[in-house]
Amino acid sequence: MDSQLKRGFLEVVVLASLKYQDSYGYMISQEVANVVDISESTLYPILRRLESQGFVTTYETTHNSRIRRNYQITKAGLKKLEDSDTDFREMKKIFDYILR
Amino acid sequence: MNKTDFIRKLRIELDFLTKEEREDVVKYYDEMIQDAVEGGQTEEAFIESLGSIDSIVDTVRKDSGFVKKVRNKLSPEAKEAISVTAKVIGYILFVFAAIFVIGLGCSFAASGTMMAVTAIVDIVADPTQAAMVLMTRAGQIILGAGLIILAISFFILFFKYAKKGMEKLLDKLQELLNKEDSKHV
Repeated sequence: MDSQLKRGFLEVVVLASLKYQDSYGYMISQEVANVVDISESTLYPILRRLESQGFVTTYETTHNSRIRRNYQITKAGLKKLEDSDTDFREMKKIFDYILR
Repeated sequence: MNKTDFIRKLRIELDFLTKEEREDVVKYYDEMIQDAVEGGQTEEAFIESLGSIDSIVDTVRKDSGFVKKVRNKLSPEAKEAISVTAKVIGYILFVFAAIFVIGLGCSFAASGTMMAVTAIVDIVADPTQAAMVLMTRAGQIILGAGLIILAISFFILFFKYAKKGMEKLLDKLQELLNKEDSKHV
C-alpha cells in the first residue's frame, strides 16, 4: 500500500484498537497485526505521533516486576476516530467506484 | 542477536537523539521484547522480526522531526479555545457594526421624517403661500422621503447580508489566528 496513505490509516487503526480498553505496545501490535500488516518498528513512531498530538496518553504500570507503558485514548482521540469515520465513508464510495 | 546486544547497538546508533528520547525508544523495544517472550516467542526470532537496527534508526530519525513540530504546535484544546475566542471577537464586532448601522439608519429616518413632516405641516397651515415657497416645501418632502427610503434600505441590506458577512468575518479571523499558530512552529 502507498506508504503515506498507509500511515494515515495506521494511526486510525491504532486509535481504534484503544477505543474500548487501554493497552500496551506488544498487545497493540498483535491486535493491529490482525487487520493490517504492521511491524513493531512501525508502531513506535505511530504511538509517538498519537501521543504528541494529544490523541493518546500514557501511564506506567508494573507487570512481573518490570515497568510497562500503557496507552489510553483521549477525548481528542475519540473525536479523531469519529471524524475519520466520515472520511472513510467518503473513501468507501471512491473505492467502490474504483473497484466496480 | 539477543536482547542485551540489540539494546546496546540501538543505543549507540541513536546517539543523535537526546538522552530522554533515546531511552524512550529503548524502553519501548525492551518492553516489547519481554512481552513477546512472555507471549511465547523466542527472543532471537522476535528481534530478527523487528528488522535491522539501521531501518529502526531510520524510522525514528524520520519521525523525530514530526513529533517536535507537533509538540511546538498548539494542542487541540488550545485550538478549541482560540476558535471560541475568534467567535467572541466576531460577535463583539458584529454588535458594534449593528449599533453603528442602526444608529445611522435611525438618524436618517428621523431627520427625513422631521423634514417631510414640517414641510407638510407648513403647506397645510397656509396653502396660499408663494409658489416659490411651496416648491421649496415640496423639495423638502421629497428629500425627507429619500432619507427614509435610504434608512430602510440600510436596515434591509444590513440584516440580509449580516449573517453572510459575519460568517466570512469569522472565517477570516480563524484564518488569521491559525496563521499566528503556524508561526510558532
